[in-house]
Amino acid sequence: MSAVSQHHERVDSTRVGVGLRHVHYAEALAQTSHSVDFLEIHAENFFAKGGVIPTFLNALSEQYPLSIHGTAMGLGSAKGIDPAYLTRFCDLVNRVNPILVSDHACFTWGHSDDQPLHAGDLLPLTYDQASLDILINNIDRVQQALGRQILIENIVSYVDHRSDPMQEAEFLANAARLTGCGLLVDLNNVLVNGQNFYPGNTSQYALNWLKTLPAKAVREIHLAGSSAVAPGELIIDDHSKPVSHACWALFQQAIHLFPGAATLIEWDNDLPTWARLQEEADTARFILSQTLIEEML
Amino acid sequence: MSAPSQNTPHHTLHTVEHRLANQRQSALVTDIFTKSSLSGVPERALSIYQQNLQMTAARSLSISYPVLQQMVGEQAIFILAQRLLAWEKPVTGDWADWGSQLGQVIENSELAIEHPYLADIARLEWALHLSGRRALTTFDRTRLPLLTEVDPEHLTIKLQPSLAVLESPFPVQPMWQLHRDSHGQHDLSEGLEIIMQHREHTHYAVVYQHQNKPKADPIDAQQYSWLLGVQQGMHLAALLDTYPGIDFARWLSQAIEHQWIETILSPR
Repeated sequence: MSAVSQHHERVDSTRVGVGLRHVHYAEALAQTSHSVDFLEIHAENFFAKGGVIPTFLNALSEQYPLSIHGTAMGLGSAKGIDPAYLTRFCDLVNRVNPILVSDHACFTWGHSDDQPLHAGDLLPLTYDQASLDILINNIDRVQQALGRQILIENIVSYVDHRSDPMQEAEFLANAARLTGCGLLVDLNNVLVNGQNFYPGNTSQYALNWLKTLPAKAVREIHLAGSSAVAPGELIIDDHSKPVSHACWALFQQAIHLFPGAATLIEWDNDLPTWARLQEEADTARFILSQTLIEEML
Repeated sequence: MSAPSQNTPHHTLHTVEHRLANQRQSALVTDIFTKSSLSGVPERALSIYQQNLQMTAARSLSISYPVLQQMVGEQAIFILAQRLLAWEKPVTGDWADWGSQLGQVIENSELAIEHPYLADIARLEWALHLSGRRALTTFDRTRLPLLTEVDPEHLTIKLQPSLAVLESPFPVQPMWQLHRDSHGQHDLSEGLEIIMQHREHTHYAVVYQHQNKPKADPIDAQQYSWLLGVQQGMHLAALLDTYPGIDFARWLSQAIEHQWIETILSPR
């Protein structure tokens, strides 16, 4: 796929970005000197064809490299991806020419009472051959429609996958190998799944998980934090806290494993100030530069 | 490269395993939306997905209906979102497209007894929400000479798709404006005062996009009927005959200034 290779050169591992949310729109545009290298926007927030959104998007794309992150495509949906949704997604990507395009390894489209619907959430796949076939089929379709590579991201699942025929990381690795898609590794999601289903052994679980992936396929890392819960309860993927200590520690290991990946701070709920968000990006950049220095010495 | 044209997997998968995966996925979706137990997913996992759905739906309404949320409060919006999910399912993958039936849900709720105008406030705010997201086509001024060159029976005016007209027994536009401008400083009783000042009328509003922002203005009955006629594709001669009170030259100038018109259509 020639279009894929054209975009490979455009992102490097020293890039640190932040996820842009509505409350920070004005500050992001007003900022003249940037402490972030790129912004990641949620695709669906920019689907509107008119009003202020296209104007804002133009201004934003003139000021920052953008990454487009879908939250609704449901690449693992057995029902397929809604063509109208895919058209809107492609239109947006063509308008912005982003440095990266990504969505999740989950399903979103389904039926209820014989009516088609969108679940509005990232729902878990069963990690088996049938789900893999569906996923690679949909990824192929999207990559052909876009004419470029997409990245797929691991999700938090509240369902126990320990008895699935494949492990999640193996499943994602297969999808990357069979489609040429890239991988977006959300380290917080790996840790949350580990804490929910592999308590007491989370760090080792997470490291093994990362080591299962083909290093060259990993092109982006998400860093985040989640709210604490009472013992015995499942941790919810709310991305509402600063990056956790465990996540920073895993990041240090991930940098060595995936030297080609860009880094993004993702904070979705209970949003901090724009300045605070940039502090998180500064911390990521500091860890990255320390690691690079260590490798040079 | 164009997007595929059908909602089926790229290479059709017909295996039994694929059908089972489809059934499994639909069972989970059904469990989440209808609180059934078809999927075999444990209750504690299912309840998280159900709570996520409710929270996301409520957040979506608070974005699409910011003034209504100021008027009724977050808790009421949360409950309305739950009820709306039973009426109207999200289908497009963009939560901004979901919520058109909120007015109807309010009309069937306890709120309608004491605050019967709220359903129409919701309808006005949904029209504003849609208007603010629609693409606007710049009016083609080169079509203006057609008005003198072509028989009005062969001319129609195409309005911007972002324009909508509404009627209500309540003065919803001034009420909506009061609450929007005050950022939640006014309580519902002040809206009632506006109703008392404007009672015994039917009220009309036009919603449109101007300079990239949605706007709502009050209009009178004649302007409403005229706009409705234009929207329904009545030709200009019929419009002028039906609504002789409309000063067409003045209306046209105002319509162009407000970006209401997309183009003037004639057979040639």
